[in-house]
Amino acid sequence: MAEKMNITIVYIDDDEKMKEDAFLDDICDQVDEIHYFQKPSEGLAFVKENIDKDIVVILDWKFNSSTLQGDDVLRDIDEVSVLVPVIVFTGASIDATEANKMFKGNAFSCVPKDSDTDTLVNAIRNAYNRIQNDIRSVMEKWILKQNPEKRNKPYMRSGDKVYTLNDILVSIRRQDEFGKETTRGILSLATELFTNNMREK
Amino acid sequence: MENNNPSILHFKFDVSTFRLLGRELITDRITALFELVKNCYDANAEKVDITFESLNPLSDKSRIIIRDDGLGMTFEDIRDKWMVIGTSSKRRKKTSPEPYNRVVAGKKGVGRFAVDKLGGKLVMRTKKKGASVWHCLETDWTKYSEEEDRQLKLNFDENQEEQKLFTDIDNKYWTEPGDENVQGTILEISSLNDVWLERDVIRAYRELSKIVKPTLNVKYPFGIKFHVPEYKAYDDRPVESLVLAKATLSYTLNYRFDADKKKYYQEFLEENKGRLIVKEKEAEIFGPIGFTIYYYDQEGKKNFTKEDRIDGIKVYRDGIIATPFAEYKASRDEQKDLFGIDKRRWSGFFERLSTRDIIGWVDIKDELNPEIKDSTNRQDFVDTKEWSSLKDFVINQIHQIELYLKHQKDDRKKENAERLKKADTDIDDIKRKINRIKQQSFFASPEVESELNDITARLGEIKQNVSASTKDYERMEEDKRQQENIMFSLVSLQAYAGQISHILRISIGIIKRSAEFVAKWIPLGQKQDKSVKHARRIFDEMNNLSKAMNFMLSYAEDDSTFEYFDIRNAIKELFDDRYHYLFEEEDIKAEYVVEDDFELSYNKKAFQDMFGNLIDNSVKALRNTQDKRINCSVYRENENLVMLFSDNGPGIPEENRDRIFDVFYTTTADLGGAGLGLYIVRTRLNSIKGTISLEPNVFKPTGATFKIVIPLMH
Repeated sequence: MAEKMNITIVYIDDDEKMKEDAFLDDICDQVDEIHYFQKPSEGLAFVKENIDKDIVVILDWKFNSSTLQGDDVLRDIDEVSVLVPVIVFTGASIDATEANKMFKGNAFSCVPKDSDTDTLVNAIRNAYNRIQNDIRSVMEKWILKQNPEKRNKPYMRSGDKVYTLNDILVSIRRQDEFGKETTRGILSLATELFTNNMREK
Repeated sequence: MENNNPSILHFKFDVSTFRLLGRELITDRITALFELVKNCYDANAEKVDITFESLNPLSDKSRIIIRDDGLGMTFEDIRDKWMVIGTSSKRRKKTSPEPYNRVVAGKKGVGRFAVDKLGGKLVMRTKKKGASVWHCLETDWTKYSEEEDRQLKLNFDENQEEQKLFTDIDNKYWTEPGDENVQGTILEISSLNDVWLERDVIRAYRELSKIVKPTLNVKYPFGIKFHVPEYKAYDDRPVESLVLAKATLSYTLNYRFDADKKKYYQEFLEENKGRLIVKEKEAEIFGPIGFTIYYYDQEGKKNFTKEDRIDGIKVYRDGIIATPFAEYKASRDEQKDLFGIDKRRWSGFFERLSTRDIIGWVDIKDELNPEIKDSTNRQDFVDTKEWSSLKDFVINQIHQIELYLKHQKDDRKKENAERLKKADTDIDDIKRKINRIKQQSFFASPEVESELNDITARLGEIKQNVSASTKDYERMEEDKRQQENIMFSLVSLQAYAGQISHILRISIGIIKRSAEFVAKWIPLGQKQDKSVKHARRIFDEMNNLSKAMNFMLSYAEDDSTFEYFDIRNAIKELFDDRYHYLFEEEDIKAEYVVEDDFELSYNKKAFQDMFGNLIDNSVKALRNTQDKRINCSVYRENENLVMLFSDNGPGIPEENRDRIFDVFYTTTADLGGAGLGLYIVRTRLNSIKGTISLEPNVFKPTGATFKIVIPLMH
């Protein structure tokens, strides 16, 4: 049995038939939760409300019934947090223009709809690994572990601005200037510590 | 001073600076005028008056006066902004002050140098509302050029002390008393450089008409008026947007409030027998709206420049664009087609209008249309049912225009054909008349007779030509009809081929993963229930695939096997043979009435498949109905065969009514519905110029009724 992933799958697809797809029945024991949404707007709302969970989004690309299309959803998720991996799952043929939209929207990967379950599960596992290993996700998780009261108190100063842990969390998720700077800072600090250790030995 | 500190040097501006700037950025006097008017627009002016005095010949009375009612300037504005070269607050701010929020037109901050192209002297008077004086500034560009000329004559080694810099030249400032309620800026340009001929004024007029954009925010209009006493045609003449004036069709729809009934009534367009009529009905759920639409044919489109292009329908809320994301994008593909005008199948083909053919705007109000909300990312509207019905309204209005245009085109064709026929009979008429003259005028000279004979002979030739042309014309029309038919089939087939690959990919994926599931879990003896479910799914999907395949195959066959067949028989076969068993099994009372005898030239099997799809749908819809009924009646209406097909199932909910003909749209996925049936019916019908629509249900209280119309002479 494969290692269990502590993630919530959010599957958005306007084809209701896909709600019963075998891949969902197959992975249901390998993940924490699975939520299916037919409407992109509802899927988005769920992601926003549950942003503190580790979410992997599986996203249909062409929506017949909605003005929101795959790229719109990608962009909206990105605005909430760049740390949520989105796997595009599509039956459409993907040409350079469409691929460009995916790259631009930070899609994590793209899986054609005629793939077997393993391909899809692999994509999910890769996304899970990114959540585990990405320094930004690690920072996010560390902040979320702190008690809520502490998270709202001033934590550090940068330039003339004071940041609480929650501010930092939002910055990291959105990867704004401060978020990027903090990420870079922590990375070089970690590298520094690691190499220092080597020298001392 | 800087001389005391040799380690620091400062730039100085030579007096010719203004010429360099002007020459670089403003190429001619029309552009110069254009730049100055753009500044008025950016200052939130609603009215600009341009007066040309004594243009030809030039005298010391020659003047160009540009007067606007914009925000005006304070003394500080003049000193710190107007007099500082290159400052452009507009470069920092992309829209003009509230509440106009105009997208600023001038961005270079050099509009003031434009004056030099028009004339040597500028007197600017400007004031803000509430101020009691006009601030007046005189800039005499001739002083600059005189200084420049003087310096050019000097030798390098002559005394440099005398050399004045750009910044050394004095500009006179004074104030004049003014009315506190007035605001605006007046630029009075004299010492004009060139004579303005009438055609120069025309050019200026045409150029300025581009500023008055069709997409302009209507709540805050921007009007320009010309005053040219010398050229009467342009005296006291408002500048109209050429673009709007040249629209092939334009409609403005309003609404009104009926105080007695306490209801809003909405105007809408409806095509009726070749006329486009404005009617009124109770406002829909999205609330009353203003709707303005302009349509351009090929001729009308020629008036557009690249920037001023035709780009579909926008939404304004309380006079301010609510859809900035739908604004101009350099790449057309990135521009949002808010109403899905181009997403309609085959848009651009045949009689479909696209966003390249129309400009328009929907005016909504916060108070009247509260459910039309911007989504938080400001990229769209929230997907409410009000928004979706507003979209339907707009699309439907465009469709009415399409119907009207099509009717016009058909009428023109008819007219041409009739004209040719009339020419033919006219010639016969003339011939008869000449014969009469010949018979009656026995006194005619031999010369006249020979002339008359010649005329008769030539008329004969003309008649032959006209007859030949008439035949050619008819043949051409017939060819075109056939080509259109083929095109319809091809386009529908092409659209279908694109979608079928999508369906195949999805179906194959579903089958593959379900099969994988069964193969994985059955040997382990786990997840038994789910394995059964997925085995069933494989079977259902396979059925969908074979349906799609059969449709594809029937397409491959059908065009080659057109035949005349009897409709009554075809329907009888369906109801009494093909579906008889199923009706009995499901306990459905199925009836059909064929009022007349018809023969239709079409592929019989394709025709029956169409009905088969409708029957399949009804059977599924009726699964929870007690007293199950299906009814089909066939009758003739004008040149059309009409078939009404009804069941007494739960009916189709309002919100799904527009989607049911879309490919993949299904509410019966659980019963193996692939969402192909109605799509196939519609494509099929379209290929023979037939239509299918949803009608008010015949069975009460619930049910669904489809109306199929097939032209008998296609």
